[in-house]
Amino acid sequence: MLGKVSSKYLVWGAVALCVSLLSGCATSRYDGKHAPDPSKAIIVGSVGESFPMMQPHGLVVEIKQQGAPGTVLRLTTLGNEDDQPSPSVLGHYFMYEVPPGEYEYTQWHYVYYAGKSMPRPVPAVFSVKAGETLYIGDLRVDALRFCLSNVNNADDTVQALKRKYPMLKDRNIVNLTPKSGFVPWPSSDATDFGKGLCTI
Amino acid sequence: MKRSTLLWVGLFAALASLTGCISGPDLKGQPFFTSPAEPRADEATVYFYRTAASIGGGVAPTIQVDGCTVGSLPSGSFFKAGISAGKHSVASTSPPIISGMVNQRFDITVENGKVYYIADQLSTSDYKDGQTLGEVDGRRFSGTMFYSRYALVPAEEALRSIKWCQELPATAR
Repeated sequence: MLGKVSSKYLVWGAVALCVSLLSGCATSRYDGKHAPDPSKAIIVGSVGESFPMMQPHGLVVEIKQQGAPGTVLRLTTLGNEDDQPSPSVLGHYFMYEVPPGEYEYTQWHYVYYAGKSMPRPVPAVFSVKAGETLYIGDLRVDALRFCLSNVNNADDTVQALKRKYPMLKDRNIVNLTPKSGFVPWPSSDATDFGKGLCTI
Repeated sequence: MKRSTLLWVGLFAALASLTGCISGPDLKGQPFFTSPAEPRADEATVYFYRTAASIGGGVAPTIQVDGCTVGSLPSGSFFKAGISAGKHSVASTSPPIISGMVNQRFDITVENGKVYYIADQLSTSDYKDGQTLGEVDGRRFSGTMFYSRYALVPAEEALRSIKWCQELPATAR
């Protein structure tokens, strides 16, 4: 009897441990309601997917800190607020408080498609320093080309971010897109219609 | 060891080794395509490439020119072949474990000193661009039509796609 009870608790204990370990893997968003940690950096930007005449497919973009396997930013469109006014675009403005270091866009995919981002010829890496506030770009994807871009739209997005997060209002936000931006990055669902990938 | 355990171990080992046979060589660490090599004057330079695919991505067809194997095309790979001027017969064969049969066949005519790009492509809509070599193969999979083909792609368009491909290891030729 005791053995049965113990094994039952062991199973639940293992489940609880797994859940806590998994939740510790993804860095949670920063809402700006407490004072920022001066030993960290703040990164801001937007993520969105367009789906003309379709349903959203659930964009997931992962950014990992190099040399720190536990630090992962997982940007997702589904399950988050929709800050985009267009009915055919789903996405939001985000803000994270992160340790200083080098960060890499490691992969992206749609929840409701089998494809994964193709291996990159050149890694998409940017670095952040403690105390900095950095705009890292607007991540955009659509389910026609299946290519993710990270573009510079600082003029509009930084203003929108300051409206959403009042604590950013008086901060100097550095535009990091010359380093953090990247050209269209296809997934294995991308099709070449005779003009090359990411081109229609 | 129990007989049933041995059976399961044997089954897993067989499945693991078969997976390796079908998917082709590992591309990890292989260089990506950057720019075409300087073409040789005494032959045509032909690049065969296949961007990463979700459907059939685990299968690597073997490419033969005039009956001789010149390479295989795992998902997300490319390789270069030097081919003499003239008309040649090209065949794409699925791995022996799938069927071992020729599943695409087409002819190409090449000139010495020129560079050609031949793509193994897959789409959910039929191709209408005039680049198809041989015939488009349309098959239904889970209720969706998929169209596969080989295409002779103009350089400008090919370079937008082949830059996402990694070179087939020399040991896999």
